[in-house]
Formats: sequence, C-alpha cells, structure tokens
Amino acid sequence: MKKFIIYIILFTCLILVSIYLILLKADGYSDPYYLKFTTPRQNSLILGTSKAAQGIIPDVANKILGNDIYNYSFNMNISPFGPKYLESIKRKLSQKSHSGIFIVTVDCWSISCMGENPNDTTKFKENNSFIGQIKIVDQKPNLHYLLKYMFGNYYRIIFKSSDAVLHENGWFEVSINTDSVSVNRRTKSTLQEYKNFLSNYKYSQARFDYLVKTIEFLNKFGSVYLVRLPVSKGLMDIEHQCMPNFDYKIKQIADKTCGYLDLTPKNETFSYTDGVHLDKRSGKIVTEEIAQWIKNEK
Amino acid sequence: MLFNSIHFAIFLPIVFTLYWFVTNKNLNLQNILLLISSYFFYACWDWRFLFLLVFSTSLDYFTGIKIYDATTKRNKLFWLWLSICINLGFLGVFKYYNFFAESFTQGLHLLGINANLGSIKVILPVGISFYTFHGLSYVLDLYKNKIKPERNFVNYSVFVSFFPLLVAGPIERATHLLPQIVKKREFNYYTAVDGLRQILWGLFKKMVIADNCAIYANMIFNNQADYSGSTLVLGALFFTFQIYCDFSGYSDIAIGTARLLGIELLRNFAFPYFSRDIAEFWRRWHISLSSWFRDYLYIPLGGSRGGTWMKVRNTFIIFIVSGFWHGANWTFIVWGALNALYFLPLLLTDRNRIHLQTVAQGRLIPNLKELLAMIVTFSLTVLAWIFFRSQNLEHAINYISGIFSSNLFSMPYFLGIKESAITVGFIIFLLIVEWIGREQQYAIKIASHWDKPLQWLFYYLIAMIIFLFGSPSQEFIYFQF
Repeated sequence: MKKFIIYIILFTCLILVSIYLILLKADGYSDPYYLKFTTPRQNSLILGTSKAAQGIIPDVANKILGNDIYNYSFNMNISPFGPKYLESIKRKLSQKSHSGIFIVTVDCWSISCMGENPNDTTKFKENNSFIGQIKIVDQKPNLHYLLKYMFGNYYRIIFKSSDAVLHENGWFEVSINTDSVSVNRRTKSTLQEYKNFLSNYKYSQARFDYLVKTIEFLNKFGSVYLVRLPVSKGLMDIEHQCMPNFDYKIKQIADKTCGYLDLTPKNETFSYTDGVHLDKRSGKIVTEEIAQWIKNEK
Repeated sequence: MLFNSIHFAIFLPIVFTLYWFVTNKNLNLQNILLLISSYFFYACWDWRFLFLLVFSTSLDYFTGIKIYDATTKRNKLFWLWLSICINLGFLGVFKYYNFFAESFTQGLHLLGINANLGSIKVILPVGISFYTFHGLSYVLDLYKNKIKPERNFVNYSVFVSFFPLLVAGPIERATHLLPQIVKKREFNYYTAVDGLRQILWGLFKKMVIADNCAIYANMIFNNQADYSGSTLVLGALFFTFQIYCDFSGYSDIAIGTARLLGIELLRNFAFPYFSRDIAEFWRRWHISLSSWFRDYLYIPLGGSRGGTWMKVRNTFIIFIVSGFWHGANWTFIVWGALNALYFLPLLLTDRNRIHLQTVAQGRLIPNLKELLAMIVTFSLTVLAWIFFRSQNLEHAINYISGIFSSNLFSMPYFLGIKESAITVGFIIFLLIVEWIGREQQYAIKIASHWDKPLQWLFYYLIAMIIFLFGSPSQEFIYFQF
C-alpha cells in the first residue's frame, strides 16, 4: 500500500507540474479571450462584441490619440450589454484615472436577447459564461479561466494556430483567406446564421438600460464615445429587420456621451471577412477614422 | 458526477482512503461506506430518484427472501412475478410510457380514430435500466435456485448500487458480485495498479476519442442534408468510434475503479471492432447485456434448440428487445432488427460459433481472409449505427440515401475538417494499440510487461494526451439508457 501511495503521489505531482508548465505558456494564440484576463487593469477601453474585438486596433488609435487604449470586447454571446459585462468592465478598469477614453460600440444584437422574457436579467446567457464568472481579470497565469473556460483543447497552447491571435492590447487579429470565393462562402453561411437569429432575438429594454448604466459608469472615469461599426450590406438589411428604430434609440442616449459616430453609411467602402467582421486592412482605416473623430471631438 | 470530472477525481481518492485506511478492519463498516458513497454518487445526479433506487433495492431484497422461503412453486412464482412486474412497471412508466402512448395514438389515427393517450413529463432516472436488470437477475437466479438470498440489506444494496457500475453497468450478476461483497477484501498492489491503468485507458478513450468524435458526428448527423455522401460516411465512422470509446471507456473506468476497491467486475467489451462476423461482434460488444439477455430471455425462450422457426423467432426477439432496452424509439428497434438480420444467416447455417478465439491469435498481422471478414463486419456495424444515432427513422433513411448519392466519391468537407485530422490520428493510434493488446483484458494491460521507466513514460504520455487533446467533460451516451 505504501509503495502504491508513493507512486500515485509522484505520478500525480509529475502530471500537475507538467500541466502547470504548459498552462504558463498560454498566450494569444491559445485562446481568443485569455489575454484579456491576464493583462493589467486599464484606464481606457474599447467595448463591444466581436465586430469591435476584430475591427478596432488599439495601436492604431493610440498613435493618433496618444493614449493607451485597450480592447475589452468579446462577442455577442459573451459581451452584450448587461449586468455581467458591466461588472467585468468595472474589474478591468483601473478606476484611478479620470481622463480615460471609452469607445463603446453598439449594434442591435448587443441590446437584444434570446428567450421568452428578454428583460429577465437572471436568464441572460452570458451569466454562466466566463464574463460572469471570472472575478480576477488581471492575473497571469489565470488558472480559473484556463481550467474552466479555455476555448477548445489545451494542445493549442503548444501547437499554435496561425489563423488568429489575440494581442496584448486586446485586439483579435484574424488572418484568414480574403479571396472572393472564401469570403463569399463565409458570408453566405454567417448571414444565414444571423437570419436565423431574427426569429429568436428580441429587443431587451434591460440590456438597453445596462448600456446606459455602462455609459454613466464610464463617464466618471473619462470620455465616452458611441460608435456603430460598418457591416456588409447583407447584414445591414438583417439588422434593419432586427431593430428598425435602432438609430432612434441610440440617438436618445447619445447626449450622455461625447458623441455618436455611425459608420454604417460607409458600409460599401470597407471589406469584411464574413459579412460581419472588418478585415484587417479595413479595420485599420476604420480605427483611424474613429480616432480622428475622437481627436476632433475632444 | 461524471467519471471524467474533477468532482470524481476528488470523490474517488476520498472513498479510497476511507475504504482502505479507516474502515478496512470491519467488513460491515466498509460495505456501509460503499453504500453511502454510492448513494452520494447517485444523488449527485438527481437526489429525488434516490428514493426510486432505494425502493427498487428494497423490493428485490424482500421478494428475493420471499421467493427463497416460499414452500410452494405457486408462491415462489407469485413473488417472482411481483418483483418482475413492479421492476418492469417502473421501467415502463419512466422509459416507455410516452413511446407506447404516441405509437398507439398514431396507430389509431391511421385507422381514422381520433384519440390521445397523452404523455407524461418525467425525466428518465439515470441508470434505471441498469439497476433494474441487476435486481431482476438476482430474483431470477433465486427462483432458479442458483443462489441463496442475501439477508444483510446493506450487502444487497451495495450489490445493486455499487457506484462504479450504478449508472451504466457493466450489468452484474449476483452469482459474481455478491460473493465479493460479503467477503473481506485485501488490498493488492498489482490489482490496484491494474485498475489505475484501465482507468487511464478509459479516460483516453472517452475524452480524447469519444468526445472529439462527438463534435464531428453531431455536426454531420444534425445537418445531414447539407453534406455530401463522402462526408456522411465520415460522420457515421465518427459516431462508430464515438459510441465504442464512450461506452467501453466508461466500462474501463468502472472496472478500474472497482479494482482499486478490490472488487472485480464483469468484462463488458473485448475489442468488438476486430470481429470477423456479427455473432463474434455480439460476443464482444456490451457483453454483460448480451449475456443477460441470453441467460434470462433467449435460453428460457428455447434458444436455438428448436426448429428453424423457433430460431428465427428467438433471434428477432432477443435483438429487438436489446434494441428497445436502449431507448423508446423506433430507431433502436430497427437497429436491433437489422442486427438480427445480420445474425440469422450465421445461426441458420450453424456458423455463429466459428470465431470463438481472438483474431490472428499469436500473430501480429491478420491474413487476408481475416482482414476482409473484419472489414465487412465493421461496415455492417457502421450501417446499423446510423439507425442508432438518428433522431427518427426518416432521419436514418435520409442519411443512408444521402450516402449513396452522386457525391459519394467527392472529397469530404465540413467545418473543422482540418482539426478532425487530429482525432483521426488518435483513432488510428487506438486501433494500433487495441490490435497489439487484443489478447489482453484491455488494450494497455500489455504495458504491465514492460520495463518500469518505459511504463511510466507511456502512462505519462497518455495522461498528457488526455490533458492536451481531451474535450471538456461530457456525459456518457449510455447514461440516457
């Protein structure tokens, strides 16, 4: 028995140490969100869904604004406006500076909800996701995140994918084929997915109220800028169907911020990887445009 | 509490420590510990159904004694049927009522009669099919005077609800398990190491192969209309390995866990995908269920002793009942019937027991005839699994017709096909390891003959593969049965 116990302990220790050493290697290639919970608390943030996570490049904005803005956007399932995203923002914000810049991106999906009662905050799907559960957002390695929420298998920590990388500044860089055949195929399938959402998604007053609460909270620590990012024509049509009075709703709260920049009139000017997300080149142009607008508004 | 969860990784060492270090001096205490642990394990699923488990256990315990003590055959039969009816009654209500009600209503509709038997909203108690069969085997064996009743309620309860086998088997027999429960267990280093080794292999099969195959199998089966024939073949193959690794992985973990506690459970799988005909497949797949049906249904019905008609009838009965045991859906019944059709030619030509030995015994490579026989048997099994996996018969038929479409020979494509190559690699690894270890109780038992450093390296690599490539804990398929 003694020999058995000793061997078991030795083997378990060997495995645990190996696991720990592997987890230490986790980086922006391993998971699309991990680094957002390992980097220090920030003074300036970019908020929103995956459109913002991929489409707004902090380094580009920082050059123009002379700031150190961090992209704390996730995706429409994780970071629509609501209590959990707001709590997480509060954790990520250093709350020491009062001259931060906050780019809050909005679209109809981030103020909508699936389910019978879109205003029941206890039923919001992000409640059980990492955005609602991770209490420490600036710890490396963040074992809680890695052990419970890491996306996909752990082999990604060792065998790195070259398709996508999350940068230290929070920008999620996607490098996939942008030839017309690949883009068309992805656009067709993504837009179909969004069309399917139409029957399930409903406007959520509760989410809208949380957007207002988020703005009011951020106002205490700097200037808030509302932005609607450009999307493909196909998605624009779907978003119109989803919420025909979206602009009216957002304009109602624009006076709580330093301004609202709607880039959708320029939809046709930009390129997208799948009809939803800006490609890298367009992301750079859009970020420059947003930063320039903020600079002018300041 | 899943075997492949952190909760079980905490639970098992606690039970192990209490079992061998605290209660080891007193058998009664050790069995009480096993019973409490088993009930706790079960309550983690749904504590409400614990009452059903306790009731079912008590019923068979008391009827078992009554059967043994009854002085007349009539009385024995009365208690036996009471136990059978109540046990199967519960199974019928929880598992089959909605199926029969819906089928009956649909049948009446076809006759132009509008009626609705309604349905009941109840979740299936986990493991009910397994512990009901434990109990039934006990009372049936008592009736046949194969065993004497266990008069210690704790011992009997441990037999029914021993946590490693409680929710998905192997389906134990009182003749095999009860004597081990009433006897003092001694810790044996080699048995315990063997148990851990089998747990490790079970986790590899479940987490690395079954759970990864499930991702692709689910995607392809759930969107079957969108895929080419070649992709559908791939989907069926993924499911074939998913179901095998899921269930045999569970059995490996269960048997390994029991071994850690000094208890030997029945073998449940013996490398079924290396079978040379369907009869051999069924001697190697879910052995504890197949042998249960053989002993308590097929043989009492006359087995294969009667004329041709009786053989055909009994074969269909046993396979259809076996299919129906898996779930209340026509897909399982057709799956069973299809296997009966595969099996019948062998039975009628008296060729159902020609492959009793392991394939290519003592050789590394099979001969061409053996290889072809294995490929044909495997292909027939894959076809049958399509019915097993499909949501309904229409889905299964569409799936099969989708396979035989014009694009059967096109390159398969689905989202994530590149990543799936890793899973395919591990399936090949599994097949190689299982082939090499096919004459053992379980594949990697062969490692016990290696040098210590090589053994450690191998276990370390398997453990790291599980960590790196394993999917997050998902339920075992057989929990729903």
